[in-house]
Amino acid sequence: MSNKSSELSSHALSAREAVAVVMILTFALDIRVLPLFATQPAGHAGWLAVLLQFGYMLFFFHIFYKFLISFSGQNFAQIAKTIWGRTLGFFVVFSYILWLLLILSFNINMFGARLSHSQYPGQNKAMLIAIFVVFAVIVVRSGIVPIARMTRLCFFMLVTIFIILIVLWLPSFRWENFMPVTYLDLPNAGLSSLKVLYTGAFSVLILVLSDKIASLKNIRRIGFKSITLLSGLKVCVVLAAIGILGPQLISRIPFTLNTMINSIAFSSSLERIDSFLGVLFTVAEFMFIAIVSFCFLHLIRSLFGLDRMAPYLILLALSLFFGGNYIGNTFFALHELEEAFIYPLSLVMGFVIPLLLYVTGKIRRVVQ
Amino acid sequence: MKWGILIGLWLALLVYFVWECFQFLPRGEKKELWVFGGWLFLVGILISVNIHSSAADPRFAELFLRLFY
Repeated sequence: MSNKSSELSSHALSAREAVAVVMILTFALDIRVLPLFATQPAGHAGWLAVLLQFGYMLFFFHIFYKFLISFSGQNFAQIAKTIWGRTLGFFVVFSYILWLLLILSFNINMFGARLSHSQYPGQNKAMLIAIFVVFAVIVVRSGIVPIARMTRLCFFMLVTIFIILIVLWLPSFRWENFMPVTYLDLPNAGLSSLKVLYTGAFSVLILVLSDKIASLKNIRRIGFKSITLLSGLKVCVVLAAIGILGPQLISRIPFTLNTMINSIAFSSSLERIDSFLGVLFTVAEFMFIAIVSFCFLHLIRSLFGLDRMAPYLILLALSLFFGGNYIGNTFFALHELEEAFIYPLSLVMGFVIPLLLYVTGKIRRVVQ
Repeated sequence: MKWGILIGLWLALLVYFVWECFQFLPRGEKKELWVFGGWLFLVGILISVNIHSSAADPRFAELFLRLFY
């Protein structure tokens, strides 16, 4: 019995680890896009958008929880095939594989762009992408459990650092930047809340990892608490961005948080805090790439019923490197691609399709 | 020059595929070999497109935006 439980613990995620994995996916993207997406088109009422998306996230996490308990120990391919049949289920899961490949290529390029913009100016972006890819594949090879344990530590550090940052940003606030907020701002805040929801679309990957979760005990409570904590932090970050930079300037700066961090000059010992924070942001982005890469491989494995994934790691590395290089040259084009295509596609994959699966599952009485 | 690199690339991919055949087939993993071969082919196309494009050529993002917007 003790051997079996130790096997499970080394090859399966606990509820906290599964939730931490999902939260870091959201947070890693928020580092790059949150202030920008929250203020378009809500402007100075962008923090209201984050409050609205908090409600959506609770609702959708509840739906994911229902899938987890109804299909305990089954992977996402089995869930889709059970609810929608073998053929449609196959195409749905295949579309998720293509979506994840697009997301990986896009985000690897954007992370390389952020590094070459902030910490390594003039550095060849392709080399930064190559380093990211090599380390991601090495980490993916070890499995999801070590990744999840690293993620828990990273998530805790990120939350702590952001709380400290918010306190350090307070002297730089200009309160007139986000006042007044009236009922007239609500429609724009509603539109912005859909944009902010984009980063939460990756919480659907908890269904991809559903067969890797050992125990679902308290996962809903842990998930709700984590979403509440993260949303509170996001409201504070957006308030800080609007308070320090103002909504007009946010739309003109590619990496808002980097600029905000440079505004901190509390004492001479904290003036170079941007270097340390840059490392932390890079770790979060790296965890995003590693987790999504694992989910990508896991989806392929579950869709085609494969046993070994080791032979496919080289193909994964080549796909990520050349996909990341080919997806775009200029930051402007990538930003437009994200606004025009990736963001609506992610909303569909992350929320619309799971909602349709849930409704169909309820009608067919296979979902609790 | 570029055509030489492309031919070399596809030869290298073919050699890699043949090598992997000797890993998969003794274990009876035919389905895995098909998946591997299909993915390798798509990766070959992706690498070929990368090699063939020069720095000034539009990439996926620019092409997509031109087509649909």
